[in-house]
Amino acid sequence: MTPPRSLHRATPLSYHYHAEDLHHEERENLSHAHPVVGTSSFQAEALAIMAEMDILLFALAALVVGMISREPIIGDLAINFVAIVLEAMPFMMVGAVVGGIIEVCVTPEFVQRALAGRTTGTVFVAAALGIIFPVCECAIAPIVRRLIAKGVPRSAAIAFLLGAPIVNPLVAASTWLAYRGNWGMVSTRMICGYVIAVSVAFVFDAMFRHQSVVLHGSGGACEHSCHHCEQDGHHAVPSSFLAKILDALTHARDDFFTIGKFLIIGAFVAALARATIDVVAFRQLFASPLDSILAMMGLAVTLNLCSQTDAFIAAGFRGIFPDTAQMAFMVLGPMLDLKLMLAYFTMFRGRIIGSFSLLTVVAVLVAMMVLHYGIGGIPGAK
Amino acid sequence: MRNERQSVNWLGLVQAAVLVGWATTLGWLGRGSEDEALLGRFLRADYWWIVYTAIWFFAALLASLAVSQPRQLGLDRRRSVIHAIILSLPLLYLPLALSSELSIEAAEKRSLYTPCVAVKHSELPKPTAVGSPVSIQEVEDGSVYNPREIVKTSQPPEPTQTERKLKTARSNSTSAMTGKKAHDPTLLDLVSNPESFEGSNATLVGMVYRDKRLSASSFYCYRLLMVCCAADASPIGVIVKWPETRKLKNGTWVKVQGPVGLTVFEGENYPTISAARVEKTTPPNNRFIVPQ
Repeated sequence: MTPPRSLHRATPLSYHYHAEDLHHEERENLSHAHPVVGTSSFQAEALAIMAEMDILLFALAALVVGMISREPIIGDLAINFVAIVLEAMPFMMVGAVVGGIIEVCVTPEFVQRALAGRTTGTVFVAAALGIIFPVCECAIAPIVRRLIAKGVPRSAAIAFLLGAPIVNPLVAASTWLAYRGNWGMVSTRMICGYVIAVSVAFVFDAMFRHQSVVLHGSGGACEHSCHHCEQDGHHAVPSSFLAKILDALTHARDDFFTIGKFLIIGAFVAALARATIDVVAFRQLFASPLDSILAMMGLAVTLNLCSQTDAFIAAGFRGIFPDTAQMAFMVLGPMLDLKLMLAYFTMFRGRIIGSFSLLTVVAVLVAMMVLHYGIGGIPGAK
Repeated sequence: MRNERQSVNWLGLVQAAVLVGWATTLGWLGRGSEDEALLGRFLRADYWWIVYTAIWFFAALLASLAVSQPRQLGLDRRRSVIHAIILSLPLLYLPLALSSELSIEAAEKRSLYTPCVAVKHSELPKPTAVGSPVSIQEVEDGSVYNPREIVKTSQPPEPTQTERKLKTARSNSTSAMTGKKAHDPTLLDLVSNPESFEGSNATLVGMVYRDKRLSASSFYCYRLLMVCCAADASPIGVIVKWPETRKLKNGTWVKVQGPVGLTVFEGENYPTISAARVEKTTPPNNRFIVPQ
């Protein structure tokens, strides 16, 4: 089989993959997935593999040490880890199944029609479309690629990309459950998500109105929005009800096996933090609200959590950080994290991603500072 | 072509193993009554339904695997195995989690944590845990503030809105709870509203924590309050005055009986029990206190 052109061009990439000793077949699959993407996304992918391996080895080593030495701290880690996963995993399953049903039953053309023909108004509609399409951020990037490819205004696509993973009923339900019926947290999260999505979309559009931001060919040739198309090509949309259910479950299963690892890794990191961090010391380290908000934003970017489960992780930081810092975690995470940046490399040019990321971070930071100092915290939060 | 089919079949086996592992483990954890099920060690009982839902979803995904082959998802065998191990990590950690209890060190690290649900229980504020330094407190609205910052911003220190709220709520609490003195106070009652139960007799079960800052004849008797899951459980407790404290080891489960009082510790009021009797006891089935 002829190696893809992109591999010939990408010397640093080739080095990376040889260093990682990846299978040739995988390189082919990856290059098929991102036929026009530069080396950045491949390097990011290689880094992701390294990070996965490092965390896995660390987790296994800790487990072995814990089993042998019966160190209390590893016992604590185990309890925290299992508890967080047990609480969050069902939500990821629900999200995966709902996502699968949407993939099978709702076509991107429908979304395109809903967003077509308007300019400013479209942005406001797009940021709230998650109410109808409750998908997490893991599945949304490919949908946005399709929308951009089909001519939906990019400001609307950006608003959908940022808003839908937060402004959706599943995320609201998980936040409500994680915060024990605290409507202040739920509504603030939804409102912040919506306002920031709309704001960033308008500013982004104003900044890059006369520039090409989208990679040529992004959106691919698939006829539906399924994000697995990035990796395994097309499949026919089934016609019978049973076939649709099966296809939806297949999508859900693929989601579980591709996205589930992020939940597990995120839960492990959160459990480790819970087992090792001394609350007093941590509070002193991040004494000011700004520090704690920034710390939680950094954590949101690195943990790569699914928006349907991140509330449970954020809730674990109650009493450690103020509500606004937990909110920053829950608002920024679905908009920007490492796995999303990897996905953004399949849509946008590198410098655009930099500007877009900075814009999103600044918007979230400003919103949280306004909440903390302007309003005095999360309105209605107990 | 044949290699590709073998690879898909192999991937299907890996995926099936993970799904079966998860479904059976969740089913096993949820087996038994509310007091017996192992799930209670990780999650509060009114959240178990989400785990039961997940079992059905795992079964559905397993059924779909029987009908449709897995997609390659751009992964080679090694990467598929890595993902499968990552997805199975919680299952690998489960035996260790089941054979462990949250340690004294964990309680120490969480000593400042005062879940708002405990306040919600009685709709009243409560003091911070014994281990709390005076400099940082958590108050009724769950927010964190640092009195040093308050001093900086107002000289002489005027009561802030939060402090006023705390004071008002505390003064209201005495009258609001007067009618509730009749029942034997629980640990949650004492921590939420110690003033209301001053003078009444209490019988509590909890773990011993001998704080060095307390006198040699006192210890802290605490249990973990679970808001959602074990990861957010935090200690709540009372100071117990007992002359033979030295005989007690940290982490021992004890039953304490005696009249309730109040004491000032590091500038804050805390509920105390001047114990008439302290005896070792077996841990309760559910080690956690779960507020409604």
